[in-house]
Amino acid sequence: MTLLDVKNLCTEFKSKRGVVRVVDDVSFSVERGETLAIVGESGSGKSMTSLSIMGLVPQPGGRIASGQILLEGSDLVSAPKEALYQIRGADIAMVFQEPMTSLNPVLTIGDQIAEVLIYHKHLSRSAARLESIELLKRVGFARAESLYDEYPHQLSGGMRQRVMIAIALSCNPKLLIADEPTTALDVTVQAQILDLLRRLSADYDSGILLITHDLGVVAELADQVVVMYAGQIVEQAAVADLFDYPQHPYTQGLMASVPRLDGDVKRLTSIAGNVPSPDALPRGCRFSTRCPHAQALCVEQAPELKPVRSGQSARCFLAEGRIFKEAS
Amino acid sequence: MVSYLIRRSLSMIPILIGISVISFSIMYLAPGKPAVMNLDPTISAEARSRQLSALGLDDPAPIQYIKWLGAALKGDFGVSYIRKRPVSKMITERLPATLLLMGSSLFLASIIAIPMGILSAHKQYTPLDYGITTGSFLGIAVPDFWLGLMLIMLFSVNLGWTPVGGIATLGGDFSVLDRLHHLILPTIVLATGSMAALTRYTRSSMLEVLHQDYIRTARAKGFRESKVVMKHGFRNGLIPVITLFGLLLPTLVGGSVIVEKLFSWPGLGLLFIDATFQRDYPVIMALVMLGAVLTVIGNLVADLLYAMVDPRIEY
Ligand SMILES: Nc1ncnc2c1ncn2[C@@H]1O[C@H](COP(=O)(O)OP(=O)(O)OP(=O)(O)O)[C@@H](O)[C@H]1O
Ligand SMILES: [Mg+2]
Repeated sequence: MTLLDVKNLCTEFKSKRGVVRVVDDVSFSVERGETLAIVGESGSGKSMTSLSIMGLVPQPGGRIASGQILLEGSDLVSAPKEALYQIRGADIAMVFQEPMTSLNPVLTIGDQIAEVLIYHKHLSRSAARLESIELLKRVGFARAESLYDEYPHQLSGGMRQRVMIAIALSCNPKLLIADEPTTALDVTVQAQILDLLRRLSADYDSGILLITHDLGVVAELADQVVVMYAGQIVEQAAVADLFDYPQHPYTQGLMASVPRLDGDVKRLTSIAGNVPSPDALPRGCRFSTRCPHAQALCVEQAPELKPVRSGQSARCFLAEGRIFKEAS
Repeated sequence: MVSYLIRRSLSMIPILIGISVISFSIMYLAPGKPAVMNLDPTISAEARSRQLSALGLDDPAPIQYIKWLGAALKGDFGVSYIRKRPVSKMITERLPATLLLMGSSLFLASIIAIPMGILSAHKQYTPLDYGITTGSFLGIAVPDFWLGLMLIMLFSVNLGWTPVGGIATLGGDFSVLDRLHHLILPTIVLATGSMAALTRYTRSSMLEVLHQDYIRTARAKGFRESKVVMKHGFRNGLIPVITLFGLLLPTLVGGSVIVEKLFSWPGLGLLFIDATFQRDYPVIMALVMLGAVLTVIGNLVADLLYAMVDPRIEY
């Protein structure tokens, strides 16, 4: 059975200026042992997608408007609150984007790990302590015992993120959501954390939903990739296909904005302009305002996400073959 | 920690000296010289000046102050002009009653205000929140003496449930129940203002905390809202509230003056009012200094508590 199946997820915020849809008709699935990466620029709805899966869309104002989130076949959107209390932290765990502020400043590191074990696995305090120390060792802390009684402010960002990972791993989750787990950290720490995630999916057969800006991370860890733009999926493919045959101009732009040591330096470009804000979207294709290939049709009409190659979908008239690149 | 305590205690000295100089000057300049007010008007001028110099009141002001300070440091605050008794003795007699009233008010205010503030924050923008908010603004706005009179009228006069005033039934034996019975109305009146302020403060502090990332982390662990708010929110929300306790002390000291007068509660507040109307300067000076010391110590205690709750603070 598919581990996670997200179907037509729409998440909205109610604000003074009306309702804005920040996740629009998003569907994808994650299998056990598989890593699916969501990439996209800031504001494209990656975090909101993952918070929707956790059932933690910011309140008040935010809500899942429609769609299904199936964890091993059972829907989390319509599930009663009580059921979610059992699932969150145990079957699905999440590592957040902000390592500096995601730990409680007044509780010890050990307490923040052990409380999950006590709550979900019903361990005694002393058993939870031992297991927490094991977890700390597993995420690479040599002096786990002394760390147990320390407070978050005594730790660096990378250490805190590893503690967050230890918390997330504490109940061997079936699905781990990692929201830009390395963005705030320096390169050597990034490598450690990626390594940790890789071992997790290998050792425990967990599914990983990895959110990132960094295509280098995608290439290293992901099996499947979802590219999001302004709340929508614009391209979806296996990682090799995406890198070798990017179909959507936005994906192509992302690829081109990665500096390459082996390639021509001139390829280092970036996509001009910004993601349109969700309350001021263009009428046609949402990328049309920045697309180098945009034509009349793109401004008029919104393309749909359609299969364009085997195992690869894109939301683009160009990829569909309804328009053609103008010779330039 | 110890060196911090020493440093803080030393820094209290100039503050207290400053307060004593200012109070002393105000009293020296105030109209109605004690000598004129309180001496027998029929005695001769010669006898009067003899009495004045016996009291040390014909010295220049700085000398008077230094004499007062020297004695005060030894715990001697002089003799009351009116009651002719040592001031320190009068204070130690009445201090317990005031501490009881202030303590019970602070306790009542805390056990009601803190849960209210948390609830109000957790249920932000609901009728419950609006209700609590309206209630606390009323509590801040209503003057103590008016509230006290209304409660006396309702509960003591009309319903006859509570005594009109005093600390014990006249002629009765001491019993805890009797004391509580007398304590209840003054406590409520004195607590109202602090309760309201504390509710507002707790609410805003909790609101800020509940939007923090670590609260989201707690929810992601699968905890129920009650655990999220109490275990992960409360201790963080409490940190700024603790400072308020230090600031509430002077309010309580001031409030107890009115409340004690209203309920004839035989504490320092009542003593203070009487002393003020009778220009009993040694008593006034001693009480002002006591209030100042209480306030300064209250702030110190608040800072120490702060460090106990927040591991990020080290001394
Ligand atoms: N609490 C909120 N209220 C209203 N709108 C919000 C709220 N949180 C996020 N949004 C909006 O939702 C959209 C998607 O935000 P999201 O955080 O999912 O982006 P993201 O892809 O994770 O970006 P980043 O890479 O910066 O983390 C943004 O346009 C943002 O403005
Ligand atoms: Mg994000």
